[in-house]
Amino acid sequence: VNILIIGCGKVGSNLAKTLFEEGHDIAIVDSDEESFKILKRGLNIITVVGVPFDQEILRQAGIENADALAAVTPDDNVNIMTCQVAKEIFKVPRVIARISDPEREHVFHDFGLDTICPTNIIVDIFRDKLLHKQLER
Amino acid sequence: MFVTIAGGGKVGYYLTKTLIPLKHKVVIIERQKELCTKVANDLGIPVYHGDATDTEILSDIGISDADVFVAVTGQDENNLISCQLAKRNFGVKKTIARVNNPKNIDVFKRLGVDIAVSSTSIIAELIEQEIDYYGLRTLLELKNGKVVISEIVIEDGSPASGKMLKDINLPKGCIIISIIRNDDAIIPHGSTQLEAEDFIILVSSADNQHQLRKYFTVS
Repeated sequence: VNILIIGCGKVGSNLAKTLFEEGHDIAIVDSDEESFKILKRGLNIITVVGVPFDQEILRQAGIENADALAAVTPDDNVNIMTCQVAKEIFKVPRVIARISDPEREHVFHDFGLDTICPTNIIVDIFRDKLLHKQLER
Repeated sequence: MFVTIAGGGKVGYYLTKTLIPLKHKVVIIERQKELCTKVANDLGIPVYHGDATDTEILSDIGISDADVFVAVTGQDENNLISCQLAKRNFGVKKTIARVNNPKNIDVFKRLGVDIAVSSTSIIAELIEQEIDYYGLRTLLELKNGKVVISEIVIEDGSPASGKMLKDINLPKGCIIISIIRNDDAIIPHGSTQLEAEDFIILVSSADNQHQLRKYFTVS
């Protein structure tokens, strides 16, 4: 599967590594060239430097053949705009945005974006652990 | 009209300054606190400190009552998203966004912004109109370039010179609406003869406009 990852921070780089090791083709975009240093050597991952929602940058990263895109930069709005461009303009079949602000996640989920809110997920886990609820494995 | 502006930088500041004497009610949302104080003191209008892509701020301001929402920050992603929120969540009828990277104009329009304005592309177009198509000049653009009115002078020896209008076979969708000859305005019909030095006014689409020059100039 061709997967495009936007944002090469801790989440982006680890997601890239995991998916690559599972045998998928990965390209990763970040606006800061330095951020790619976090990627382990020897991983055959395409890296592209540039503004993630710039259509030329996305084309360079192979969005026209991408089966899926994950936007995981620290900036919620960059993730949202990039996902909208991927979905509406490039018709990428599966597009997922990380949105850290729960309120914003709620709004853009309603707009029809596939979203993940790490804040909500962590809050849920903490609540369950704090209250000794049995966690599902 | 009630106008809400996101972004109190140079564009937002001068836009507000221009709108106030026209009796519009204007409020600004700005992220930088110092800038908020400065703009509020200078212009004497409400300036809210906050993020215009935050629905809570938008709702505090009462943005659902706004007639127009204008986003003029330096970040395209923020301009797009605040306009989308204004429109979809608060029902603001007209949204206008500044586009910093001209390549995003199309994206903005396709993602629901009513008017996407890029000063870079406006200036580039003005320059092109002035220097490009030898003698073919745009007088007016309507409906985002779907309809263009242009003027051109017929060169001696060009394909149209000395021919009747019906014989020059202009591309479909191009119409000559007027011929100015010796200060007389002629509304032409098929058998009107075109002469060198005639000054003609045409309607076409922006796409067709580029093909027009070859009919009236010597290549």
